[in-house]
Amino acid sequence: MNIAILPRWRRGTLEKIWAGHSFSVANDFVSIANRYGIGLTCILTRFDVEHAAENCDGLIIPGGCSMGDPYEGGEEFDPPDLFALDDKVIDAFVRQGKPIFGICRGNQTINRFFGGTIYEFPNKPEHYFYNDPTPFDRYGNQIKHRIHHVNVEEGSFVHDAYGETRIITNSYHSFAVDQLAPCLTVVARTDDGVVEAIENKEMHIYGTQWHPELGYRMNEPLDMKLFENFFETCRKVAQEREG
Amino acid sequence: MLLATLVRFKEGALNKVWAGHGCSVVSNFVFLAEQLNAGLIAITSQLEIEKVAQLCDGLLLPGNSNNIDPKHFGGDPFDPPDYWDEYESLDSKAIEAFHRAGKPIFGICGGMQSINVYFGGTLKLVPDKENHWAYRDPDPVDRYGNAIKYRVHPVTVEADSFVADVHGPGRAMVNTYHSWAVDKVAPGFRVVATSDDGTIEAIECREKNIFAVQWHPELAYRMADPVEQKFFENFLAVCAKEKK
Repeated sequence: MNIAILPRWRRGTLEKIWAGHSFSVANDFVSIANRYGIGLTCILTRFDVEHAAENCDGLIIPGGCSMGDPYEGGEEFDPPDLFALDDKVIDAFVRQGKPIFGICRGNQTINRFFGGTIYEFPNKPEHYFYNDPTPFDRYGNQIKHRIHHVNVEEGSFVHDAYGETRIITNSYHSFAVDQLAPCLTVVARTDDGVVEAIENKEMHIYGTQWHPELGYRMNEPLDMKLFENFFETCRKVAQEREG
Repeated sequence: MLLATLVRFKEGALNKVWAGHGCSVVSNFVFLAEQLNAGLIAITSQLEIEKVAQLCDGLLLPGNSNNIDPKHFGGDPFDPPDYWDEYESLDSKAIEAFHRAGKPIFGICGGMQSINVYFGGTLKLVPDKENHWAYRDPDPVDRYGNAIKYRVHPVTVEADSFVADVHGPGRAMVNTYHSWAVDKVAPGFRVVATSDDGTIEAIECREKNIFAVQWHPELAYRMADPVEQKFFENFLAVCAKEKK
């Protein structure tokens, strides 16, 4: 099974031939795809997107820099219109009826795509500044991040993976869903009301504001269950399509 | 038109949520593809690679900061061994899949070396790293005004080759950044460009629709160089012809 993923702009060292800016997929996603035996292809340009999408059974939209600063200050280059690529690819996958899983800014992109809005919420420290003490990942690296509690709706895709209605997740964002798109439902919020997960089960569209892919490095089986369930959904939908 | 390329592992800052290791495609390739109205997807592992090879019209095999372990061409293995061994896990699988699917392949820098090793050739260290690797002075400036540490050297181009289609036969100046080079050319391949110290700079096999250069034509995007960009235009034309 092949799953598509969108790239993220990664700043490099422009003075060296091979180390300039790049379009990147976080290694965590590649590790997860490898673990579950899934081919992960990254769609890089706006051309022939429908064709590329036909070969894939699902789409992952990863996190990235804030919506207010799309290019991470990339003043050296003609800014690539990353959102144009995101929208074109989402459009192809929605039209082909394939599952989509958005993470962090990907979550916001999904809401925006279906007609909602996002905003910079006031309580940034609770969702962005690092907690103390910081945990170690499976490679022995101490990773700086924030964690917070999230309240989860029963029956949602989040509940299917974590099995609880109050969970702890990592967090690294300053923007969030403001006006919800009409076709989506909020299925998780933090105590201060910030939207943390959205879904539309019939359309197989899911989004989390936190980073479950970090669960690979942090040895979190429940984060991995989110991906397992997503891949399972992609498989089932593909079978229904063929049947 | 839909081309495939490979990601390259880039070390990141593991202590930050979003800035860990990445699997990257140099932006030049993406901008060039966009400019040429071509779709581009990046392959991240050997899983399901045959399906991708069926779907795409050609393969762009990029360079790599890691060198190919000599054990793959009968030499003494690296000590300590290369942990990621992208030749083993990615390059060789991609070449195999695309070649078997009859799709054209364009190799660049380390990609050329992967192609040569895959089809039975060997590699060696360049005789004079100074000429093929060290930066020269002063640094040229790219289209955005960034000084880029660069080296160029002349090459001699064979007539009636894919390099001659771009630079014309005879002499050309190309950039260079490699410390390994082709030693024994893989059977079936023809040398179509050499530098003055005899280092092999480009090979091709027209029957297999496989072309490779030891330098970095994708830098044409940053250097606003219309000449080297023709490599990609011509490669897309070959892919289009094969499609029919």
